[in-house]
Amino acid sequence: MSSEFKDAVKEVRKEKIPVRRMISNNWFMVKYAAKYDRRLIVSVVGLFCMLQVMKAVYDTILLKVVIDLLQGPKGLKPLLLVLLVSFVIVVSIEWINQLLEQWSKAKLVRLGGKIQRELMEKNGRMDLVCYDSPEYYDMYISVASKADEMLEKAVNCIKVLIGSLLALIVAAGVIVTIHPLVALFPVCGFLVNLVTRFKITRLEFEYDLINKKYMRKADYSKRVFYQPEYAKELKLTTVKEPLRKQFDEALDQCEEAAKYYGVRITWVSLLNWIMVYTVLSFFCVPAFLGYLALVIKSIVLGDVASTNNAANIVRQRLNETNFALVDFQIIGQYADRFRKLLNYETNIEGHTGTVNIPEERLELVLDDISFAYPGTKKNTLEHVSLTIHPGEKIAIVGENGAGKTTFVKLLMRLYDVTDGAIRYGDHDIRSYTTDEYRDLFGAVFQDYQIYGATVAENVLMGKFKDADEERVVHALTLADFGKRLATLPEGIHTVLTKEFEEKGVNLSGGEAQKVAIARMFAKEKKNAIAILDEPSSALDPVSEYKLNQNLIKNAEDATVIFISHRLSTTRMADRIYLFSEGKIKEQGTHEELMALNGEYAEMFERQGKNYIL
Amino acid sequence: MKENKKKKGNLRYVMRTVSAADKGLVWFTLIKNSLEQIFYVFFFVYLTKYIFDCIEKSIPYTKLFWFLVIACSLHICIHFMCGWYECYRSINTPKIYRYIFHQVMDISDQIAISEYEDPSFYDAYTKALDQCVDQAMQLLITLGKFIGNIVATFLTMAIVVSVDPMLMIMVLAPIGASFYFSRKAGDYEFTLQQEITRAKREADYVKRVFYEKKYAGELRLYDMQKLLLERQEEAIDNAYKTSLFYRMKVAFHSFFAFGSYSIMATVGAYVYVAFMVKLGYKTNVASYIAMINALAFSSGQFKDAMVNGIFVRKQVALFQNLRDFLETPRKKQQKLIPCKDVSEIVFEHVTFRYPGAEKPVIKDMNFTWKKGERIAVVGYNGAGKTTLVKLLMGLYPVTEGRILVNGVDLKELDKDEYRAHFGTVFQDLQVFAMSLAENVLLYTPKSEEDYERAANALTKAQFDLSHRGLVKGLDTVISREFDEEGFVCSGGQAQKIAIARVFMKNPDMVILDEPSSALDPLAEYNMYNNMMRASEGKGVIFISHRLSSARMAQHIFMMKNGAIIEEGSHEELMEMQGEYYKMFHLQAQNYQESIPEELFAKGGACFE
Repeated sequence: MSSEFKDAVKEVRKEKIPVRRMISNNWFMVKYAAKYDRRLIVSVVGLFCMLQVMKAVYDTILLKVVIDLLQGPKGLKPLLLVLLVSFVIVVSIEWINQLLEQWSKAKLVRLGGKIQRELMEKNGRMDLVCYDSPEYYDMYISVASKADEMLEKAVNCIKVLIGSLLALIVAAGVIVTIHPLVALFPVCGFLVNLVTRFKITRLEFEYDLINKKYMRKADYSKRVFYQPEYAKELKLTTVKEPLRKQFDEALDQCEEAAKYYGVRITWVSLLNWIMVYTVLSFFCVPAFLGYLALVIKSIVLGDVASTNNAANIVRQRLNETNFALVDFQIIGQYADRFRKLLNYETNIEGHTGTVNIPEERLELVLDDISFAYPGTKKNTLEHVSLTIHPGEKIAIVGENGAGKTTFVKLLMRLYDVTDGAIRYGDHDIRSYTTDEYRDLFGAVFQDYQIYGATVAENVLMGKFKDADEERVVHALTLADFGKRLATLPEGIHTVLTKEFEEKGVNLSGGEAQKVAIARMFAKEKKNAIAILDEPSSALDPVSEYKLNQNLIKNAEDATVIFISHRLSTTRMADRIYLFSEGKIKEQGTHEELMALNGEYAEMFERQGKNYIL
Repeated sequence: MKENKKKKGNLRYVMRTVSAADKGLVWFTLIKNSLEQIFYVFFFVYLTKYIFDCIEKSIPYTKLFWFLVIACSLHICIHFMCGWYECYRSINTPKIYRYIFHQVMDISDQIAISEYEDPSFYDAYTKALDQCVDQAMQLLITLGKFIGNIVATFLTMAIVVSVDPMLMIMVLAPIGASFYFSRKAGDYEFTLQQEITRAKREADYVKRVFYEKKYAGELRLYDMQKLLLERQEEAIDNAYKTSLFYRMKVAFHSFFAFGSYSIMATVGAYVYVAFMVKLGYKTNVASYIAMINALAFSSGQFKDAMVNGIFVRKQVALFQNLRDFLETPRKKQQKLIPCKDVSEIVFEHVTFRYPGAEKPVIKDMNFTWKKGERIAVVGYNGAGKTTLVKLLMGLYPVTEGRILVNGVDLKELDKDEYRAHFGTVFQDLQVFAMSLAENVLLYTPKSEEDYERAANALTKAQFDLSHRGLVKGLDTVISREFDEEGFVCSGGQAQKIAIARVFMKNPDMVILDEPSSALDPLAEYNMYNNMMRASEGKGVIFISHRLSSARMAQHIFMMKNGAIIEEGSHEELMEMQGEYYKMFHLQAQNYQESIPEELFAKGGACFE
């Protein structure tokens, strides 16, 4: 066993949780689903259990009655009467079975949608940090995204477990009435099964986790060979060789895991199969019944047949329980994280403040702030202090990874500072209502997105009303989208992306950026502060020029904060801050910084050198 | 008919492929899964009948006992076989994986880039290849079960007939009705799935927006959430209504499809037995009771046979795509002219149109590129710059005209040898989920020296090797695709890695397609400086929006609508006062101390 594999096994074992918690977790999930549609959950579980009991009764008791009547001295009439009853029972079982299955499938579509909607809303109110650190993302976001299917699984799992248990009780009851000792076998079988099956599902769960981990590596390596986006590199470079090696290695690891777990799972499975199915079921039951019927002669054929059927029911239900136990384990693990998600409390989103946002525009003061992303030790921003006056045009420059984007996100309170404070006017921004505070801002992010909605909705970022038309068109024109707008089939009502409509339009990178920029121009309430994070990266020089002109012209008295690699843009600013490794290294006007002859001057000169004629 | 034949071919194909990877697995899978079903007949039908008969006829208990002992020993043997099989399968499945995907890897060479870029490629092959191994195993298992189901059904029927042929009617009678109704139910299910695909996709889209990181910032700043949630509600509501409508129909038809069996095979059979026994025609009640159980068993087996048969048919059809992918004869170039060195490339009236497109992207282009010459290509978005690079690399065949390499048509050259002379950075460059060193070297490092070379190239490309995210230095895996300690590259860092590959390779000809768009100014400057120094005496083509870097070239092409509209040195182009001149000034103005207002009005003045 390689040491790497040992580590992987150790890691997976850490995720084990005790049985009791697993049970409470499963129950919690069902209760949670029931909160949304109690009637549905109760009727699905209730009717399913009823069906199981009916089937068990029908298969055992009715059979005994029929056989006894067949062998007995009575005539045809009572027998036919019993058969009529069983006809009614069979028909109703089939009816309920089909109706319940189909009806619940349809209902679950709506329930799943509703639950998903609510979790999405909750998700939308979760602090942005949850997306940033991979641990948080795994803990909250990906958990929420799976909730609807997991809740459905939990309901099905509980349904099968309770239903099977009831059927087992009925079957055992029938057996007890015939001879109490016979019941010993299914009860033993049930217990042996419970113990061994649990061990098996545990092992399978571990194996599955480890296997998935290795297969992810193999799958990735082979996918590169047929994914269009990698085709060029594949043809032009030698990257195939290491990829192939990586693929082979991952498969070797898979084989190692298969050998380790395959053998272990097989031994426990053999124990389970032989004890539960062969010895306790196929052998003991008929052998003992035969003994009772042939040697002691205490029972008759009807008893044997119904006991035999009861034993079959026991076997079938145990089988179903085994499948359900696999899900039980998965849900038990999942619910741990789901509960954590529900208990998550936001600090920023949806926060209601104690102070109202004043009408007039105020200073934005950063007082010695520091910020570190959760889970990281190093501060992304360190001891940054600055004051932004209303109406000022600010440029933020600096190398990749200097903390520029983080800085503007802090300004908008997408994160809270780790140390220090940001004040708008006299108050800490944490004392305002988050939504009201953010309303001061208009922003275009580096990673702006286009949504599956009309152009107008994409600009307004909300519902369109007829009165908005002029505003939308004006904003798009200012963002230099006017020409493209004229070519769109339905103008501002053209649906973008193909998500909702086959005829939807996909915009190019530059066009999309223009639509994102139009959002700023279209805000109903004039922005007090506009933030542009690399607004022109996808634009060609002519569009960039027009955009910069329009931005300055329309900003009027608003504060504008630019982030730009292109130092040409920064010359329009009243004040420039140069960030380096999370600190402000230089600040001042363009002239001051050039006179300082520091890093800014060096950057500017290097970039501009070739523009000098 | 023809299609049917094809499907059968596919089945053989799957079996052949799997057995080429591992001989035993195909037969073991088929035998295990069919034998299992057949042994059920023994346990559920024959054994039950035997026991019941024993009791009715009061046969000595020891006989029954020993019969049970033998039967159960047999059962234990089957368990051992199953256990062995499960073990065997999990250990050998990776072998099939390896076999199929090594084939895919070998073939990927012969696939033309235009084939990759065809949108139908993704639909047809990517999905087929993603799941082919699981699907193949599923297919074999189900096929085994199907065979077992059929045999089991016949065996059971034979036993039933041996007791009373009349009982068979109880099973055969509902077959027609059941067939009809289950087909109907299947049709409704299919229509339902079709009609709610759209709604499901819409709901999934909204879900994606809420859960993917890239949307998170905007969702919190703007009021888009409400609109999206409303869309989701509409979609779900639609899906629910459609589902309820069709599901009720499915329920109705399934009731008759399944109900007709259970009613006839149990209640119907009992009624028949009741008449037979009570009217005195038969006396062996035990056999009949056992046979009624057998009827339920055989109808169950028959039902499974239908379900499994349908599954096999469906699954078999899926392999057409895999087969097409692996078996399509692809043109291998015949007489390849070796390419020892590249010193001159000439474009002669080259026109290029993407397959299926109406307008050509490159129109009648002529130019010569010599080793040692630096060319800059500038122009607006969509002018055809990137396509030009792809043509140069021989990734597409030209539509008209020809490309001559040292006087030989590129078509006839050995492409691998030709491409080995180039170092290229594409706009949509890719980094791979491999170690940083491998990402630069593009082979597995074999010695300390290799690491040094990689580090050297990365430094030249301005990559910060002291970054704290690089926990294992050059051995750090890039991306978190499958390593939790992996290093996630920013756009700039990825670009630097791609540039480092060029430094590493030290090729004769260098092509850079917007290599610095995500770099900060200082890194950009240093990178260009290093690149220019390293490429002394080599051929360089670079594409850039930044006209400042274009100045480093001896020769500049200004492209517009697929054609070179202006060319010459920077000075010549400035003198021409055309498009290049205009573009240059737009960008330059912010670096000048003062900008004469009349510059744009007149378009004539010059700084001198």
